[in-house]
Amino acid sequence: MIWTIARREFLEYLKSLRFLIGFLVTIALVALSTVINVSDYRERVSDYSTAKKEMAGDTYPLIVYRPPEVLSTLVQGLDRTLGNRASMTPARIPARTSGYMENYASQHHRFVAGFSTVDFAFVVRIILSLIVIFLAYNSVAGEKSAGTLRLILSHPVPRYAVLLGKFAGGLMLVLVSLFAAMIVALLILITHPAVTLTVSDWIRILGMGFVSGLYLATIFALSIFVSVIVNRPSTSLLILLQAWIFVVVLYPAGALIFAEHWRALPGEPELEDRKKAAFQPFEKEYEEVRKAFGDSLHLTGSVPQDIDLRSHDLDIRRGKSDHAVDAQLAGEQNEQMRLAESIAIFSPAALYDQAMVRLARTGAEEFDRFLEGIHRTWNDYTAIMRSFITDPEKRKTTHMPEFTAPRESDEESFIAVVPQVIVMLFLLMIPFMSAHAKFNAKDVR
Amino acid sequence: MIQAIDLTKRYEDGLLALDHLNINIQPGQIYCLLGANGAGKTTTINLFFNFIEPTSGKALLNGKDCTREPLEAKQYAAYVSENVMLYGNFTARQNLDFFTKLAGRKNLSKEDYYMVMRQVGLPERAFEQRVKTFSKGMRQKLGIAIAILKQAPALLLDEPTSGLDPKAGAEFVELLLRLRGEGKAILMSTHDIFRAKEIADVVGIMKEGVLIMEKTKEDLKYEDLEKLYLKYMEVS
Amino acid sequence: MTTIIRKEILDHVESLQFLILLLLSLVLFLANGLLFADRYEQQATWYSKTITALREKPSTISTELYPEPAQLAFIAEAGDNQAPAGYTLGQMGVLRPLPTGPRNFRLPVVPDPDWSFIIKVIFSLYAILIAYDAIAGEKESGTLRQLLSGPLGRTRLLIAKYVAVMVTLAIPLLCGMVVSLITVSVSVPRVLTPAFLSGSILTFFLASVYLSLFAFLSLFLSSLIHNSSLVLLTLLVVWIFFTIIIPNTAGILSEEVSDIPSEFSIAKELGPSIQKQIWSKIGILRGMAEKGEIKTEEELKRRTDQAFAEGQQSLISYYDSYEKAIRGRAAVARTLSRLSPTALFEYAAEDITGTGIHREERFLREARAYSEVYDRYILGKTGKLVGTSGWAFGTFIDVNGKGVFIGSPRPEEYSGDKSDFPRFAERPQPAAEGIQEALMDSAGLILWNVVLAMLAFGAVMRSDVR
Repeated sequence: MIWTIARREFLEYLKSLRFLIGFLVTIALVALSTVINVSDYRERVSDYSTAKKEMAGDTYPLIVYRPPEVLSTLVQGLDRTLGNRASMTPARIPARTSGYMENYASQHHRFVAGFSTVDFAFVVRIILSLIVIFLAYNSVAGEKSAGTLRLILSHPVPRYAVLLGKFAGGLMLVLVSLFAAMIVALLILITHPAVTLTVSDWIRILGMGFVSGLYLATIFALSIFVSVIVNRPSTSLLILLQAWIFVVVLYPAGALIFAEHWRALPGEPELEDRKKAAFQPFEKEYEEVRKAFGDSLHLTGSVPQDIDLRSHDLDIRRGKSDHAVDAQLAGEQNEQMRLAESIAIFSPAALYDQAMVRLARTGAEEFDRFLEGIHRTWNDYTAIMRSFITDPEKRKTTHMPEFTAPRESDEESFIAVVPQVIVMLFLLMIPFMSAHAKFNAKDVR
Repeated sequence: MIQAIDLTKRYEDGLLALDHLNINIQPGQIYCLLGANGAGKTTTINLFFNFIEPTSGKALLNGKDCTREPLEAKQYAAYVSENVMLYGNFTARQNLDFFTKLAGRKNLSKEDYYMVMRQVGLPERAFEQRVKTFSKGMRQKLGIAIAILKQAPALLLDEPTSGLDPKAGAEFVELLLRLRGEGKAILMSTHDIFRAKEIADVVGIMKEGVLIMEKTKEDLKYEDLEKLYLKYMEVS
Repeated sequence: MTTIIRKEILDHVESLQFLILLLLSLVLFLANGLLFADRYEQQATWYSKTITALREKPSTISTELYPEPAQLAFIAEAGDNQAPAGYTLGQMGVLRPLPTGPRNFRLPVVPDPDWSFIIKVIFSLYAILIAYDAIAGEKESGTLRQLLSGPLGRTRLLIAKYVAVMVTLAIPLLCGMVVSLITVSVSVPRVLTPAFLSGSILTFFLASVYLSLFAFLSLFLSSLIHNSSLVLLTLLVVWIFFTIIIPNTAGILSEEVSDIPSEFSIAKELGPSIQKQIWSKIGILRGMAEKGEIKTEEELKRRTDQAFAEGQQSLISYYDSYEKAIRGRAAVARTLSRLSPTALFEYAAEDITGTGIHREERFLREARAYSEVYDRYILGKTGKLVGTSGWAFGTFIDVNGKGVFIGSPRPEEYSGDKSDFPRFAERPQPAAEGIQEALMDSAGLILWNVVLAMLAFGAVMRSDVR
């Protein structure tokens, strides 16, 4: 019974013009954006590998490169805007990455600022959700106004079966379209020579597919709910559109803007002041040692070991003290981000975005992990540099520490995404249950 | 088979649409319910299919309470609405297939459907045509086809001949008579006094929710239905 | 005709859509006013602090140039928040952007609720939601025939409906704008200048032209298609193309179409390659000195300085060509996006308010002009000009049997009286210039209006009223 209704619903949508247009637009956008994102990725990867080979080699500063994330081809997140290069000295632990041209970092995004990033996640979040609304808005209201609902209900079919059948049929079509879009994107990825996907990547891609389906199901449930409580299909569409603008555009943006303005973050000058204040106790000693360093270099052309060591140790101290200030700022920035996320918790679009970015490893968490890796490397690096001072022979034999970017494991990512999934399930269940309740109670005149 | 016992419906806005209706229709009987617009005819039929719930009283189909056991009761009756609405983008056969499956019958072949559609007088070329191209008469016939395939012992029709041209109307009446011959209990609401006189075994006249008169075919042989109707429909 | 207009307006005003639009408009414009006032205060304080500190310590090695906080940014922010906070200007016109403000890079970028966003997204959507059933709805409810059987011809009916829709949209728009203006001028009174008011009024007119084309579009499709749900659907598809798909696709297409050298290849050129060039030139000079072709220390120094200056030139030209390529790509993206009237509106608004790309270009032109003044000043005070690339070289070369230390030239800090240090002052954009820049895009919007109006009238005249 449910299957009969679901099947008819599925076929009805399939035959409709709006589905065809929506489907074609989706596929075209996914294909176009993935092709372009992949070519951009290819360029970034080739730059990264060449940079590692050619531009490394110095010990002061020590340059470390951040590999581009392969899944940024599907969910860009922060991956493009964050630079790929970080340089460290004993006195400086990098807190930001820059472009290959040092401070002339990643400027090329600036002028296309009016245009948001188009990736797979964008197409699902914006375009597919609208298509879902366009398909489902008259799911029940249309049948009501067309009169076929009465004919159905004159048969020994329980009402919940009718609703379930409609939901299942429509959802089947939505998932099929999503699946087709994913296939297109994945085909583009795997046929490209520069892209290699590991098992971990595939697991994450599956997760992203699941989350995308869940998101669309939530929108679908909401559409069905409105379709049940409203009698005229055009009213249903009007309500759903306004809800969409609010839930997908205004609400998440509002949460972000609120979080940004709730507490202003310190700017560069204030940061500098904080760092100066933190290092203040050692400032005098630092000046003394520097003077001694410069004087002996000028006079004798070399520096006695004890002064060299003291200078190095003071550099390390400065590095650590500055790093503490940077870490505090990072903490404040993360707090801001979490505030924005909590405020936006009732928007499935915001939840979807958070989950996708986490699974794709293109978010702030992954970047923080990278910074932690840098910190660890810095510890090794300064130890090695110190050993060069105490034991100059080591310069010939010891190599600079290799930097491997630590990455979040699959389990951790999936666990991190569980809260978003749970809330989305709620946001799916509530309209569906309400639709159910309303549908059972309503008169069919 | 089709029974209403003190069936009453008052809507939320206070309108008393049906006031203690009592009807009993046996198999092999055609009952015509006459009345003006808003007299309560459609409400009656809606109550039998649990589209709405009665304020008091009972609607029974083959002894099953339509409100307490709707799923059971619906098995015994088929519904043809005034304007048979179908899924326009699907063909006649596909529509038939869908509703027949909902009625609980599976595994019917294309030929089975074709046979029924011929039975109701649908032209062959229409079988695989999309329903949105159908005229009202054709949709009506398809509605009957759906009802026939349901194989339910009762048939409830809401103003089935309104808007049909004389030829289609006559074909329709023929079908109904055939179904009566097969032993179905038929309740038909209509404005059409002439048809009612033609085919009804029992005629009921409703006014403002009340069944003000009920006469059998025997009674009507000696009386002028039109005069009766107009007399009782007088605004008092 | 006025009766029909009045009835239509009443009809719209009583609808739920109007109420929601009014509410949304008030909330969004209020938020806009508050946000802008807050941001402007912050920027203004920071700007005056920074400029004061700069003026206290003028330097001939390098100076910093900052754009003034934009007063009309609340109308069209145009991504200025992502622009560099300022530029450092070295000697010989080396201009480098300073990092941007304390924006939390961990947060995704969201569109700012400036007037432009509210109008081009929200109001255009509501124009559709209000006007879509103007004709088709009447057809469905059967009242269209009633209307047309009256003394009003089809054309006048359409005009009446159009006027009604525009008035219905104007009410929340004006209310919202007033709310925003009041909020801004209460919090930051000094912002209330003639340019401020004229900018707001011009934007209102521009917005009317923009929304008008959506009204015509809705009326056109409403006359053409008989089913109002289908009209709404079609209009929404068009809206999505205009506001979302075309602008964003233009952005990603521009990446493919324009060929920008990767940042990395530029870095390769800048760093090692140019260094190599300079070292090889030094090497040649060393050879010449050793062979005795260069006799004096001065000549050697002069020629090494020249080699260095040539390297500097290559550096500057690489930076510049990269900048140009980036801007070129942005220009391509903008051109492609002009297919959508939403983009036309956005760019016209940016031109009127003097924000966005044109502003930055203007600023850079003035910065370059200033850099000539700066260079002349330095030349007068110190007698030489040195461009800086941030790296240095130093080596010993034998001249006449004596080892001479040759190092990269350094810009010199003038230690004398700098009370006549040239000040950088940004020339405010005259309103006329802004309007001129906005002319092309506004003309495009008017063209859209004309075409859609003709289509609407055509459709109304020919449609069957069954």
